[in-house]
Amino acid sequence: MKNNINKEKWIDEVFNSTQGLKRAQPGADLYEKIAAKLSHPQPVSLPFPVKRWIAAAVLLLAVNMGSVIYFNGQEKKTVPVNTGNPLASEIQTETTYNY
Amino acid sequence: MYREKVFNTAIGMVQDHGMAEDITQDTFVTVYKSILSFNEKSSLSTWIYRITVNKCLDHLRAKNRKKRMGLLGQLFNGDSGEIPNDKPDFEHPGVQLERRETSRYLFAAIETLPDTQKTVFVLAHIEELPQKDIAEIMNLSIKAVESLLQRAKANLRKKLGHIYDRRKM
Repeated sequence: MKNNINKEKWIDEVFNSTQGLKRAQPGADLYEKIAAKLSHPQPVSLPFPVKRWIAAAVLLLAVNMGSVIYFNGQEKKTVPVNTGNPLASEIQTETTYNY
Repeated sequence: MYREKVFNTAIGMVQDHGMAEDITQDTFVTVYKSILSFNEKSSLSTWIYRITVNKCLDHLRAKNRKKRMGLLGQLFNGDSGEIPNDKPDFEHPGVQLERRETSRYLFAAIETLPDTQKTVFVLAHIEELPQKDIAEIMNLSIKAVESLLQRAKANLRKKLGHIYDRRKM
């Protein structure tokens, strides 16, 4: 019970610690710095998540391009199918497999 | 006159002297560049406060993003990732000397508030603005500001209670 009273008293003390607060002062060279920023605007940097999204998109594109090249360059494997036709060897009825 | 208001608001929200200076400079650069588009629907003071608050919130969001990525890194590196959020290390330069130690706990607790509650509390408690002005700055109703302020105070009391208990251990 006493602990709770002390706790609440301490919390009140903390809340009241900013009583009589004086306004904090910026540096004396504030106006010079503002003038400098107006004369020489800073380059705009992309926010952090945008850079990551761009990197992810480039990676995805690279993976997709790699897949397209890989599958197009695959050697086609063929299995001759015996149809009983004497001309089969000439016709070459084939089932093509891509691995 | 405005430079102190802007700087004081910024330092209360971001709790970093250097960053507050940057925000103050950026605020006045924006004011200078946008003054022709100021439509006088609100007062000049409200408009400048609004720019300041938005710049502070942008900074806080960027800081949170970096913190999250840092946590992710710690996850992969196997660190505990614990961030001490009740370590009082910020002293507001305007606080009276004999109250500086105690005020550090208040600012540590303010740091843990959600952005909107933090904004309302800083504007009400540190800047001592009336709720009507805060409502205009944040584009909220007075009732919404009242509600946010109540929630901020309740959360702060809870947080300070935990800090008190940990100190006593």
